[in-house]
Amino acid sequence: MNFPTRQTMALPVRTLASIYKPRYVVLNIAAFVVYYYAYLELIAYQNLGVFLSNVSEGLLYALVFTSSMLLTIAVYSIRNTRNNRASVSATTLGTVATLFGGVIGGCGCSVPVISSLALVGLSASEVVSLNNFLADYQNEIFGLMVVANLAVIFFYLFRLSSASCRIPKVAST
Amino acid sequence: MRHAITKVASVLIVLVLVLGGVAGYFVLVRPGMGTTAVATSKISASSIPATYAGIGDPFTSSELASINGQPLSNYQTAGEMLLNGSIANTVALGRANHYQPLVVNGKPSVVVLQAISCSDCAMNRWAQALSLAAFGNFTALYVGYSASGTNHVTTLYWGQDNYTAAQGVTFGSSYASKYLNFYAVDYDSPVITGGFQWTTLAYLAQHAPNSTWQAVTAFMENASNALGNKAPPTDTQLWGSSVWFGGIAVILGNSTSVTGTAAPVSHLSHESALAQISGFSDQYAWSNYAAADVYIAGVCPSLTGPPPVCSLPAIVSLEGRV
Repeated sequence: MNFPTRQTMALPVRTLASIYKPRYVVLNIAAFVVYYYAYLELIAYQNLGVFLSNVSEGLLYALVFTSSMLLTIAVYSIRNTRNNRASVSATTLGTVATLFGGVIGGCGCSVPVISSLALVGLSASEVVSLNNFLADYQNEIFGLMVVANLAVIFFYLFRLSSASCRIPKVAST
Repeated sequence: MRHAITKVASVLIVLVLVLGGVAGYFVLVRPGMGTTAVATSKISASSIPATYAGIGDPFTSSELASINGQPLSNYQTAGEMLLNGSIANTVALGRANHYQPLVVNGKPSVVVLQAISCSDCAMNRWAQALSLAAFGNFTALYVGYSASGTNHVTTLYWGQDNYTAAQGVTFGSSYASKYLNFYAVDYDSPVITGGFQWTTLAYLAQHAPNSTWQAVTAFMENASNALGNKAPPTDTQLWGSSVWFGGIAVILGNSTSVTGTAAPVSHLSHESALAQISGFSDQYAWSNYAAADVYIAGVCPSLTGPPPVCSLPAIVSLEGRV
């Protein structure tokens, strides 16, 4: 079994550094703000317009930050590589994670979005049970989503590190 | 393009499998309802933490006097403030559904289906008590808190709830009125050591102590289904012909600028809460009275020979806006 070498492990870090030029830093910040306010609005919608959440702030910021990183990597991939390996799925996962976080974060004794599952066939017992679970394990689920985001980030950084993924620069004449 | 679609599909399939597994766990593995309490350890009365001081203790007579027999001017002033946008906390209008009233012994009814673990219910109980006090009298209320996992909100309990048992239901209150009936149903779960827990209306009906309570819970289940809500949340309420799914107020303190565990209601002593309510000189008190006005405005149209509170100009103005 071949373990990753130090050189191999350094590649995604170098790729990350090459991605985060000023324009992509700005993009990441913008994505962070959009995702954060999307989360706020989802929570407030379920709480009479008041942002009330039992999820720890650190986990919230970590989820929103890693989701915004995924979007940034996706945009970089579209503009700078052939095959667009990270573009669509990275964008999807980051957005889904934030929105799903907003649904989970609103679970509990307000009128959660999750209760609308009753309209698609879940019984009252199943909806209530699911709401209870999500309300009680919000922090753990957020932690798992952050870990999942980080795993996908590293996966795509490794893929973007491969030589075949890059568009060769054309020499100016 | 096909490669991108495949990638998206792969990600979505993984997400669906994960979510399906979570949902399947509840459908296939966790049996029935009312068995989902997270914390099941019992806590002895002698080891109640200071943050839950007095939980379950009956209100003293002076504390009851902060709720019972309050001047009608408080309700009028708070109603005016609500109508002119001066209430700092959130008191929502326009959220009532309409259904036929539950008439028992010739009187319409107020029914509240709540969970003692629930912070939403906790914030709304003060207003509900104030509104009921405008139509009758409490001979007992009890010191309460929402669960530690729901920010430990200072509140009251209608009855002697079991805040340590894994699960249960407490029916009833110590309230009497010549204008209406009051049916309080509370789902009990471990408050000091646990988080939010709720149940189905069917579970509440199964544990009803007699035919009257069975009829009340069945009525609420029928009302919820008729109004299109198959999984009613905590604080599902009937006030005359007005039905609310969830509380109508988010009252955190004297403003809503600080939320979550830092919100004032997460650290409020009952003495302070009652002093503010009876003092009627800050947003916490005005907000609770304003929310009470909404409940009053919801029930007054169902009453025959209504009491003076229903004639207050602010209540009359609110009746069409609940």
